[in-house]
Amino acid sequence: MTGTTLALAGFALLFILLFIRMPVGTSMMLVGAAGIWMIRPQASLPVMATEIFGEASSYPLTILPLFILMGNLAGISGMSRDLYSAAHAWFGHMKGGLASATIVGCAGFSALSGSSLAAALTMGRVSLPEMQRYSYDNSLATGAIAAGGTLGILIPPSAGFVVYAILTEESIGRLFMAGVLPGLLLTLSFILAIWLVVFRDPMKAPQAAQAVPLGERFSALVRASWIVGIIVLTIGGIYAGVFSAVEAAGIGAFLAFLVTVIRGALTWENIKGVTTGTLKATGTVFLILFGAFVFKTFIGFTGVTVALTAWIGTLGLSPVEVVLAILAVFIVLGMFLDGFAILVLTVPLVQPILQSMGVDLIWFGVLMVIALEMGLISPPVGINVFVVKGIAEGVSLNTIFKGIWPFWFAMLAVILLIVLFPQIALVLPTTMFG
Amino acid sequence: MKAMSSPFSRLEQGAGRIAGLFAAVGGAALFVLALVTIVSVFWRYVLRDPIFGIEDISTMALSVAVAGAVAYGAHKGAHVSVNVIAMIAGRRVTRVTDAAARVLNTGILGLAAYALFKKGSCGIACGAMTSNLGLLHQPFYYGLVAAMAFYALVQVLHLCIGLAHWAGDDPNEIAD
Repeated sequence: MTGTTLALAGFALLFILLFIRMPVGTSMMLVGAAGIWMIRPQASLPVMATEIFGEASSYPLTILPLFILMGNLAGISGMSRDLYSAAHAWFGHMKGGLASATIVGCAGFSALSGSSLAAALTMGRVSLPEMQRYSYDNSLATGAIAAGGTLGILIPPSAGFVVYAILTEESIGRLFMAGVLPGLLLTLSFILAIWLVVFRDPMKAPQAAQAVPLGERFSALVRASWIVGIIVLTIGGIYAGVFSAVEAAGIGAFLAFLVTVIRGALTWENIKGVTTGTLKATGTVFLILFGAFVFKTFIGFTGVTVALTAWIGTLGLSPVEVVLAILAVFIVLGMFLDGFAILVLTVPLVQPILQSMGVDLIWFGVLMVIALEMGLISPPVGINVFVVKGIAEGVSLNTIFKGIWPFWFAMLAVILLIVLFPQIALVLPTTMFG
Repeated sequence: MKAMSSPFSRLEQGAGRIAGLFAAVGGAALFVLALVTIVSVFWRYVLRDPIFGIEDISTMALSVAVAGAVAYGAHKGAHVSVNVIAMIAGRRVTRVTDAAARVLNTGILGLAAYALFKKGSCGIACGAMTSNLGLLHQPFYYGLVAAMAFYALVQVLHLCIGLAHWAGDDPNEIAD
């Protein structure tokens, strides 16, 4: 059996295992270990042990549990609620303003948490009752929460960027910086999408909250200054080159812990909740990483990427065309597969192709993460939609999926903008790192 | 989780206790990791005196936290699966595919535990230690062995529970 045939058989087997609901991480580990055994039988067990221990004790990966911890502490300390309250005070009186406030709240929370699910869940719990109180259409309200949550994996700190950086051996700090402007652009495009929806059909947001006096708006902003301060210190610290991304994660977690103590939220129940929540999320990501690296080694052994790169070369496509084709595949895959699964499955395949064509992997990483975000809200398995469904009792999945389309197209528009103007993603990392 | 027959519920309780132990150890390692990072930053930037080898402590604390996290996540159903099959097939199909997935999962986890044990037990003879402080990798390998082995046992337990509920609903079936 040639390497290419073996790789294709490996992918086919992997999809079968995923289809029968075997966990993503162990599916990849099984196919990877079996594939390596077929090529170099003696290497299979040592590779598996080395990769698992290597990822479990990788210094750059210490960033993941620390940022997850920071996000969870922000949730229990009430900082996320303050953020929503500030956004509510500033935007709530506008047409569709509560949905916009949800987006802004999600964007702010995303700067403290690398998880889309956490952002959708935390902000959804606060904002949905408020939008329902003002008779917002359920599709707009839930769509805004599901879409806003996706900002979690684009705006730094992003677990998606960390995994991508580890897989491609790119700089985490550089990727974090690359996500800032596209994250803000996506936030604005979501707000624009809400405005367009309400402009077309004012009954989607028939009422607005009372305008809040300027003094109260500023006091809401002051209350949110804890969270803003932590964001500025961590992300600003990375940008200014004062500390590394790992150090920023540690500082952020420590500051979030301090705020939790100061606000008297450090109860035993909260400590248990935060710790177990952090462990569960950490375990999820690391098991996938274990499998991904065993699988990546198998793919490397088959030499399929060399064959694939040569084949793409014969098609005479330009780098941008190849990038667009890959993104289209990601968007389709996102309808069926978990974002992390797509990331770890495809990056080992596409990285050599893109590198051979001179594509900037930081730029591509940003595009890829936005494409994965689209998967988070795409039917039939958009996971953020299921999270929102969990907090929106009585709202059907169909209604939520109906509400996500304006945001889905906004993401597509942002992808095209970043393809046309790569500087949107590259200007910050270039200014900082050269 | 729905009510299940008593020997399984006792085993589930036992697994829950072990998962709780993993969570306690993993949680402690998590806080050590956070503390070590903060101490490192303070010494490096405030006292201008970087602590030699502190990265070694971070990475080994991470491995303990990860072992705890993987094992705890296994008991809490945190490990991500793709649930497309439920959209096109009913319980008559998924009970068979779930059983197959659990058998395969147990196999690869057992193999991973064995691979880690074999590599880890080589210890100092293989030069398996951290680069600065010379901390032996061996106990940290064993932590991961324990996590993988526990995950495999949880899978066996869920397989047995699934088989016992063959005609009805599986209490551990993946749900949306």
